[in-house]
Amino acid sequence: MIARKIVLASLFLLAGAVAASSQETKTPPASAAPAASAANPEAGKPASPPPSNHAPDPWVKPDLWATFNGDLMAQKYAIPDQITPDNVKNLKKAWEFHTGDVSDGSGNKPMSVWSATPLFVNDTLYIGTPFYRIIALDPGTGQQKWAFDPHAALKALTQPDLKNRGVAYWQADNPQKGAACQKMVYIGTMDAKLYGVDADTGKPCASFGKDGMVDVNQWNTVNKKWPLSLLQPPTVYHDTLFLGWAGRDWTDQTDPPGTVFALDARTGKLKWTFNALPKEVISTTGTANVWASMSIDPKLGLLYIPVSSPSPNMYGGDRKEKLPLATSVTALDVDTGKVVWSRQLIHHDIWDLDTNSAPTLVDVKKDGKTIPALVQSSKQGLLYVLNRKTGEPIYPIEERPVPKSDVPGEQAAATQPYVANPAPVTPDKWPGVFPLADWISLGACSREAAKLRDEGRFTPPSLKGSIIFPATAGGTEWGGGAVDPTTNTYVVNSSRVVQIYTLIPRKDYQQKAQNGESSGYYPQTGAPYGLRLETFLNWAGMPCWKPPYGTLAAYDLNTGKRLWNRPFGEVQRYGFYMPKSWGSVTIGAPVITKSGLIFIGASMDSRVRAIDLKTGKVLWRSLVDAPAVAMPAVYTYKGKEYVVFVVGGNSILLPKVSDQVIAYALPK
Amino acid sequence: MSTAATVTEVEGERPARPRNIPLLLLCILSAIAVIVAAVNTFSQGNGIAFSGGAYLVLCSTVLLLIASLIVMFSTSSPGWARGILLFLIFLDLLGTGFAAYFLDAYVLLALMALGFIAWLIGLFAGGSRGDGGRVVV
Repeated sequence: MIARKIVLASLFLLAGAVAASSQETKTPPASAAPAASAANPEAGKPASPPPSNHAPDPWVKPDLWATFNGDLMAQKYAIPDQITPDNVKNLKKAWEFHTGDVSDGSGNKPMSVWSATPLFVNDTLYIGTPFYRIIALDPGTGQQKWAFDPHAALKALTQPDLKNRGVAYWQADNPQKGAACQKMVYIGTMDAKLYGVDADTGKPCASFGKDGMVDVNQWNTVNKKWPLSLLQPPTVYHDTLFLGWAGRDWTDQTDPPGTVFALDARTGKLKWTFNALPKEVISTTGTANVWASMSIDPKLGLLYIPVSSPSPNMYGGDRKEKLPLATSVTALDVDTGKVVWSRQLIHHDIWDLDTNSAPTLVDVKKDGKTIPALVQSSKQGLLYVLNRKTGEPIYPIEERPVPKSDVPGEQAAATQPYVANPAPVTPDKWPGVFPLADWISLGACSREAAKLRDEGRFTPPSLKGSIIFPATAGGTEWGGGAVDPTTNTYVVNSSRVVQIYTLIPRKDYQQKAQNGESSGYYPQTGAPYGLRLETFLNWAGMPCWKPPYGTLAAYDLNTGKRLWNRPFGEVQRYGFYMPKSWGSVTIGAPVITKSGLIFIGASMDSRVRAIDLKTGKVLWRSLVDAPAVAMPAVYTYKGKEYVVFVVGGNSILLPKVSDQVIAYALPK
Repeated sequence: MSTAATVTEVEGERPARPRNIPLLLLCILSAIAVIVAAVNTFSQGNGIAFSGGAYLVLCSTVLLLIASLIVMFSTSSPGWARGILLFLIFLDLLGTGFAAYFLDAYVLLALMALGFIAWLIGLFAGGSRGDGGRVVV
């Protein structure tokens, strides 16, 4: 929006200020370095690839939206093609539903953060709420069919907000008519309880756990500091629920060590447990858990898990052992939970750069061959394209030397994996001080930047404070990307957030306020250093770094080439929308349709958009009640294509929350 | 500014009846702007409801309406006071217009643009005193 930039520039020129300018995305030069070393499974021998007698569950049809990512391969690809780039401008609200489960944090409940993907399956739309209720809706009208309320504790036990990313669905391969719980819906709670209810009635399934509930905390036996929060719905395949969990970051040195549980979908009985950390180290560390969604190759029988960083997140001096599964993408045998291969994406992670989304599985055509691939997006903004059978890189991963730590006791890794092609979604260096923010702060941004340690990507945390970019707030968040498997066009949204990590020696550390989800003082109790985590803002709350703050990009996975990269969304502050060229921090994910559209919420400006897959241009947008920090569901019901967003907000973006479910369709 | 112009009574005109069309228009537009700004501020789901910017614009439109009414009906105030008020109205129109633009409140922006035109016409047509029953000579 050139006009808006001119107006802004004029405004500040009138006041004698330097006009603002936006920054184009810089991409590093492509690298032809050789592939990284072989995948590196955890201690012990990697399992052999599972036998190939696996097949997709018969009830999972491509025209459904039956899982968190639309399908088990996390492609987020919708086959309905009624809504096209030509007619999307006519898209109108078809229906709207309000769950009532919303909190702005002003009462006795924490703020709600709602990122649920609606599921369309069994001719019903299933929604999980941040109060941990399940609501079943008519997909064509939004009328409520039933609701299930577990009366969960609405307390911030691990997360600062009440969070939910939806529900999971399972059904028997051959459901018996008239029998209950042949089709089930599951929801987890922050206090580690997993509920299973009948998908047709919403009544708890008595055969699942104890009267319809499995207490996952029964397996929380090591370094038990908090419950294993079940905010991400399980992944479902072959009558099995695959379940990770979320915890509390930055508070303690030792935390519950990361686990993934496989449960019988009917009974909730434990089939196997995957442990991400060796037993020898759990007296000094923890987590390396799987808090995001997972993907499955139903034919290979492999479960792909994004493993997060170990605790304490910003100091690794007491966990110098190699923890090869931490901050990795790892493939497990779905039947046994054994590691088939694993690739560590950050060595000795001291930035909290969790692997945080389900890898997207797609077959890439390269050098005349069709290669079973996965694409792993990341907080660090790198896109890893691996052979999903072996974990070997399809596009080279090189080990690059990175800065050393100057913190007593710390020993940062000498090198880190780097991918030049596909180009990272974020630049390698932070964008520099934004003149407008600097002027408004009377030069405070520049002065602060000059004091901090800044040596580019992977600058370690330091005692004087380090500029970290990309930092824990993104790159790409838990939504990951989407792919059109017919063209292998991959689309991913990302954020450019500059944060400052300052380690504070224990004797000097004083617990002070925490502000929202990702800034403030965090004790890292047990470690020799506490942490001050800041987003680099001026006194007015304006980012000190140059925009754009968020982008949406498309890549050709057959070549790795970036097709387009555009600022996405708008920053909104005090109600005022900033120029479109500034983009917005994004949380959520895109969905691609067969007709060549991208549907996405994710931005700060409380708008949902349809975007042309070929060009990246916004073709349609609609205002909703809060930032739609979830991925939409796209489905056809009774001959009509619907696009459904849940609109919940996220305190990282704005203190603006909602309980809205909104469906769009073309008018008759 | 027309405030410096001399005026004479015209016999047969009805006194104290506001006939300054541009100022009248400005008052009407300001009143509509207050209503629009109020709707923007308190109507949930429009993207800016209950935001600082929406409250700011609501205040600025109320001030605009008050200032317009004072200029319109206060015929006895000294020229310098009217001049200051007219200047403040100009700033209010400009500031509210800017704010409306950044709030994506385009109806309000259009009202400010029309208000600015009315203000300009009033300024250059020489009727800014709003003195009913008189004409500028």
